[in-house]
Amino acid sequence: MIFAEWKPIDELVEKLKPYKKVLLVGCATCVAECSAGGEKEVETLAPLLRMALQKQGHTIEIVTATLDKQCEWEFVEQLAEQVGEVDAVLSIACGIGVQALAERFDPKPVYPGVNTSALTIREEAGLWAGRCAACGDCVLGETFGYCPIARCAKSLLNGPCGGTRKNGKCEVNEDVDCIWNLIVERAYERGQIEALAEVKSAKDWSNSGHGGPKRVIREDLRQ
Amino acid sequence: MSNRAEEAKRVLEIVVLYCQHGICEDAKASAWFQAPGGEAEGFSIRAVMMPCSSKIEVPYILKLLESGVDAVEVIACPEKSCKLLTGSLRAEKRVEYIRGLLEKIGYSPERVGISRKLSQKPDELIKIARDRAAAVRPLGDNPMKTGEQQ
Repeated sequence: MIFAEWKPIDELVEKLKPYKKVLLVGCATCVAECSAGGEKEVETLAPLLRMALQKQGHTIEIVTATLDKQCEWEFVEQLAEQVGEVDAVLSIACGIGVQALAERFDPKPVYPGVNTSALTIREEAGLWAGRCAACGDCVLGETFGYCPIARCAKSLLNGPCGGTRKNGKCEVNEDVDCIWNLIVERAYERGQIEALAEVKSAKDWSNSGHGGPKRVIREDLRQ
Repeated sequence: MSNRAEEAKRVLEIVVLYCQHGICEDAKASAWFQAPGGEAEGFSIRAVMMPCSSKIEVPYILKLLESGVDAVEVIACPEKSCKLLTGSLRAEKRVEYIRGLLEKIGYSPERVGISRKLSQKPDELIKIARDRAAAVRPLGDNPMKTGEQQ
């Protein structure tokens, strides 16, 4: 899932101070899964912001909505009437959702309420860990299902580095597995350690952010 | 009348969200929450029974504070006595989370508390509310009640 976290409340309060009526919008997909921007978080953040603003002498009406998906125009359109009645919008969807609202409802000010930071899996309740870096050139088939781009602190294609701890943890964070240690262990388990002897050449990064803004066209799907 | 005298006279509104298993049978059968005597006691209780303390979600409590109540007390079962196993533990974690949120916006975390004990009697429940009222009285009114800056 796309992972996001609330921005500091003070930062949000400063952004909202100039307005009289604000729409706080959540998204019921990824940011709901990571407990940052779903309906529950909308209903948590709204009273919190009202209280924080009131305490600083600003009485601002905050109305709320949560879309099934903030990254699809059909769902975004559902907000048209509500957006017309407010001075500004605060979105706690990922950056995609925020931009969708900003584009559809221009020139209405749209502010992000979260920082979108990673592509994660929920390892257990209350613990999310990065799994994908959207690098555009997947190597999972050569690394036994562990991603060295997202899960190695140095994104090494030929690991491990010399910093693996004796307990198999990363030198950067003692709570994080050295992913190359896991790759090597799995290669041994499968009797394929020799597959790792081949030196991998530099990755083609042009299909990720390094190749400029992403734009994909599928003629078979276009109207 | 001095400020101190006015403050002492103020009737604080304490909301008690209680697990149905956290209070004794006597308490269930009585209107214990009506016992405190307004100005004489300095606080009033609004009690709401929950099927389990884990049903108390973060927005519930924040919305109560937003509506102007002075404090919220959660009555939950002890950790190993929760009928739903981890319900009261979840309630405690949520209360801690809310207290952290309140601090971030400049509110005292004392406005929310939790008590974990089984089968509490009416006088014990009233004492918990009284203690919560005593903890928040020095803070002054909930700014949401007065519409003024704290």
